[in-house]
Amino acid sequence: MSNRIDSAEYWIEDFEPTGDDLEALYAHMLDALQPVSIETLAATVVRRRVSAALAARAATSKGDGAVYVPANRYDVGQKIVFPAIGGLNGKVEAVRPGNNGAHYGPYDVISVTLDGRQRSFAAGLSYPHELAQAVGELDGDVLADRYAMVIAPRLRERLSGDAEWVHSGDRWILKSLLPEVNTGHRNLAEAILMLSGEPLPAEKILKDLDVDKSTPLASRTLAVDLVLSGDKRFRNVGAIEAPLWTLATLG
Amino acid sequence: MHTISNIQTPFHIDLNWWSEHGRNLGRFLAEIVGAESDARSSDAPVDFIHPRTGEVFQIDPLWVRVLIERAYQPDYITPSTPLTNALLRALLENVNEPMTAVELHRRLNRSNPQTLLRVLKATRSEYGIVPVEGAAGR
Repeated sequence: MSNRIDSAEYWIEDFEPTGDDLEALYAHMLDALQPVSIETLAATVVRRRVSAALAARAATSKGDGAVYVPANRYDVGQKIVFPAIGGLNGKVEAVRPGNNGAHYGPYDVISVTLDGRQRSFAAGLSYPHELAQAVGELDGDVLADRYAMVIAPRLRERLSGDAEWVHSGDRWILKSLLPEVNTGHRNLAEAILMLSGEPLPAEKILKDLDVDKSTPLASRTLAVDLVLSGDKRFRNVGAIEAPLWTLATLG
Repeated sequence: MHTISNIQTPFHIDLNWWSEHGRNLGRFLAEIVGAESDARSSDAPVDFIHPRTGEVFQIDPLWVRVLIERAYQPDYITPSTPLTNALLRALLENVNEPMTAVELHRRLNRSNPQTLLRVLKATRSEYGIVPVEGAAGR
């Protein structure tokens, strides 16, 4: 089963980006509005997961009842709060023995009505369920420093296959945050490079292009780099991370 | 009755559909775990404890094996898994808790929500995947 969130195994062996992680990345990008590195995105994921674990603990002080921990046992009538189910809370209505000891060992199953629907939860589990982790000493920044690099490759793999994301080298952004670079812009870029007589970075080409200036310069630069890299008329004679553009015919 | 659905409409597997159409979900589950037979159909439901929430679902023992042994792993749904099959696997992994086309898109990392919605509408006749009764969209 799952490892503790502050263990290397959790990030090396267990980590798979989840829908909640991706939501956090969308939110992060809507704040940033410009390209960021995969390691920055990975650090955001680490911090989000730590925050979620800490939020579960914080719920104890709200008076909604004991925080649900699968290792604990509960009595009928006891009030419990479920941070992993959106912080819903309810009273234990029944307790029965678990019927899958072969997989989980001995445990109980409690019944609780949450939001008008009766649901069941494990109690008294003897194996270390993810929700049983101690979260008191967690520091999101410290864990991000330690594990962002570790999860970055898996996150890169996940985002590379996601149509909502684009990247050039290690500059990542949501496609919807890029300004439009149209055919007219590309034709103008061709003329600019023809006249310049030397390779130019996108930042310099942009000075003469009417690309939406309400977007950050880094986003406009990336938009131009992406568009030129997909157009056979242009050739990158610089680095992937710092492209220098010239015309293919001049090569 | 057909519900007008959109990308926010939750879908689930109509388990009654399988029996009503003489189909055997157990065979599908057995194929996933590589079990020799699908003899589970007479077995009583057993507990599955969700690894993230601790919630208990009483389901077919073979389904529990799928969840414990195969689901949540990178090779459970791969880019080469046929799309309709991948949708069914995603719902099985979610213990048949309803998922929208947007949520399924996030899980599968394939295609786009609109296309998945069209495929979902077609999977009624293949896998009994239908909109949740009375849920036109969240």
